[in-house]
Amino acid sequence: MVIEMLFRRIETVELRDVTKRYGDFTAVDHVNLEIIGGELLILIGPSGSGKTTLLRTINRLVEPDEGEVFINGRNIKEFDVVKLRRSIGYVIQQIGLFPHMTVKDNIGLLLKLEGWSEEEIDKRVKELLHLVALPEDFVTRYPHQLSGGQQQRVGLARALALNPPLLLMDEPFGALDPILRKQLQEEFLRIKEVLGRTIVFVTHDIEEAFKLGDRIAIMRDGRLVQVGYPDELVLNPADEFVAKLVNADKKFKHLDTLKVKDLMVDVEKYIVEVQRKDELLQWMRDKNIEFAVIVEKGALKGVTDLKSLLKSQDLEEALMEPLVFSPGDSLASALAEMKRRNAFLGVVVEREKPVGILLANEVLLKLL
Amino acid sequence: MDIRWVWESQNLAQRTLEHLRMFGIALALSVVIGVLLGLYLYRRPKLAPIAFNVLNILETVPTLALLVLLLPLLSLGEKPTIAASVIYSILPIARNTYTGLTSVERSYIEVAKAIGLSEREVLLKVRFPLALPLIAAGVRIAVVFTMGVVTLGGLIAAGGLGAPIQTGIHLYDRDIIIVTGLWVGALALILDGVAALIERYLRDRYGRR
Amino acid sequence: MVGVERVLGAFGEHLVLTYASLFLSIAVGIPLAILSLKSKRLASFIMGFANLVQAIPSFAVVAIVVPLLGIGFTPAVFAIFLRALLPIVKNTYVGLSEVDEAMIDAARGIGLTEWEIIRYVRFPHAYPAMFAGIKFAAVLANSIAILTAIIGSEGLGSLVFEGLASFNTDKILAGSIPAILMAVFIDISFSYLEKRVTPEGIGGG
Repeated sequence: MVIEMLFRRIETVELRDVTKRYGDFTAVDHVNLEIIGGELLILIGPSGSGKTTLLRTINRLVEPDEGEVFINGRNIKEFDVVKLRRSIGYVIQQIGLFPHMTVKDNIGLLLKLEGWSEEEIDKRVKELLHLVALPEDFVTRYPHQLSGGQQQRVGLARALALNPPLLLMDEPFGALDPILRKQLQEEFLRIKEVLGRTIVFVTHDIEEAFKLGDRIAIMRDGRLVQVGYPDELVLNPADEFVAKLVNADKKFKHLDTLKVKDLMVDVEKYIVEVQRKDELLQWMRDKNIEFAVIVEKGALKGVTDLKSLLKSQDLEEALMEPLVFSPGDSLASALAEMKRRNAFLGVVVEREKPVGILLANEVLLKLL
Repeated sequence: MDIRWVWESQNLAQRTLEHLRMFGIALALSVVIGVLLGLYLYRRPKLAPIAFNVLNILETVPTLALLVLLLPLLSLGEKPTIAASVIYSILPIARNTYTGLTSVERSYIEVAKAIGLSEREVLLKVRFPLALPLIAAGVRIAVVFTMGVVTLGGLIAAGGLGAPIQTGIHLYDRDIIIVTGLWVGALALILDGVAALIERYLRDRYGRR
Repeated sequence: MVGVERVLGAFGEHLVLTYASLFLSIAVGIPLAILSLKSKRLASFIMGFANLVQAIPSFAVVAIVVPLLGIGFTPAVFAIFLRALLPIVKNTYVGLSEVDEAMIDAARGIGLTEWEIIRYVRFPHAYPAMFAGIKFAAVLANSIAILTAIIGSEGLGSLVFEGLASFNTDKILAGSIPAILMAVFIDISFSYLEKRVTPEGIGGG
């Protein structure tokens, strides 16, 4: 049952001088790119920039006119193309599920072709459905009975069926409406951790790129313009085009003029007035939150989190004095202070009453 | 292969004229009846499924069987041949006319109504012209059917090019069969080709862009 | 009156004639359609040829077989085969080839071989078109099988021709009615089969 994948783990994927022309048009122009094993690399650029074509040279759906692609140091031309593709997962924008097959048959097709038994297929399909957050009884449904978002999750499950170490994704959320897209992006972030594999992800949406990617490679007119970590791109854009793309200048200006009140999160759901530890515990469990802001007669008393609460004998012990800001404080200095004290949370107070919360990672996400 | 001999002994010139004459009459009748029927069904869409079902069943009847069944009614010769041709050819024309008229894009109809055309004017000035390419496609099919049935007419004394073919088979004469057979084939291809050109022209002029 | 044995015998011959030819044209037609997938040039050649031949009157086709193969059962089968072949090839090819490109791309991308793609993606998509083609071919075969009596194939056509020659209405009817019933039967049974075989999710094809 163990599939002989061509490679167990990806160390590197190297595109050397890859060039592809269609008649007079050069789709990909001498691109050199190295993808590090285990990372999620984003390929981003306007339409016609060659990002999809470049992606497809990796699983040889496109054969370059010049240049070579290496996986773990071996030229992919050496491999049998079908074996190569079975060792690589592939997800496309239009999803491409087979309409005449059930969800189970769609996901399990490759497994069946590789000779897995019915039970093994069954088990694996259920595992995969679980991973992409779809109910098990979807196995007998047909694609046309699923929504766009559900279909794309099945598409992802199908790509992961054989457990490939490398995943290629071509604007997978592109065909979905913005709300659904955000939702799937969140979920994908969660899955990304669980999967822990090398992913090359094409998109034209810079926000998606910053949200999901480890490194980002920017393409234009078939050329690779810049590749690097998000903050490198923001701080050191290679040219006007990149700067515009990542909104570098805008972001900086933004940071200077923002106030705490611009980015604070609503505190309502974290406020509680209690005396005892067990009351608080129960309340936090009911609300499914990890930390709480304790008040007395409306005024801020302190904050605590689940961990501290469980370790302490009573509420007094668990209470901590939080960092306190006022709404008009500069955001930049507030964040700096939080960083210094290593606090993940700050309470925004007006006349001793809590009016908002500043959460470090929320802020960053919102900025980007 | 003595083409000249076959041509003369079998009187192919005459036969060709007979053949084309029957073809012309049959086709003309089919087009008129077919288009009118399509129009009528467009007006009464409820009848469409029944009408098309009946016509569909008629289409499956073996050609020769239909021909001979008409004999008691129309005796031998041209009449049953033309009648059978028309019966076969109505369906493609009527069906295409109906589909052509009903499936004109909503936007065109809405614009026409918006600028103030009456239902009848919409039909004449918008639906019908836009349906022409499809109708032409149906007529093309009818051309092929009609040629086929008229050729068979030779078996029931209708004359036409079917007669020398029959003679050729009975006499087991290779030359007659090949010359006449190829000649009929060529005629059929030419007529089909002409119909195709007309269809193409109409499609360019009135077709969806 | 025509003897029942005679009619049954003729009907039997007719069935063999029709279905033998049909079977042959399916056996040749479907592989030809699959082959046409390989090259666009081959495809347009085959389709072009198919369209051309279909325009030629059946009677001419049946006749031309005679100088080539003589008279009798086999030449008749060949004539019917020729006629029935083309709708099958054309419909099957269209069904196989007009699959959504994105689906083929996905199929290739996840690692299916070309043959696996034909088997698991193109074929199921092609069922409706294929069936329509076979149905059309069957009706055609049934019709021409009457005609081929004139080149010595026996079958129901013999009854019809004999009846024609001797102005014997009984014989004419004995020959035509079963043929007509057969045609209706083919139409209905194929439509039914088509619904049964079309996989859910393909729908209108």
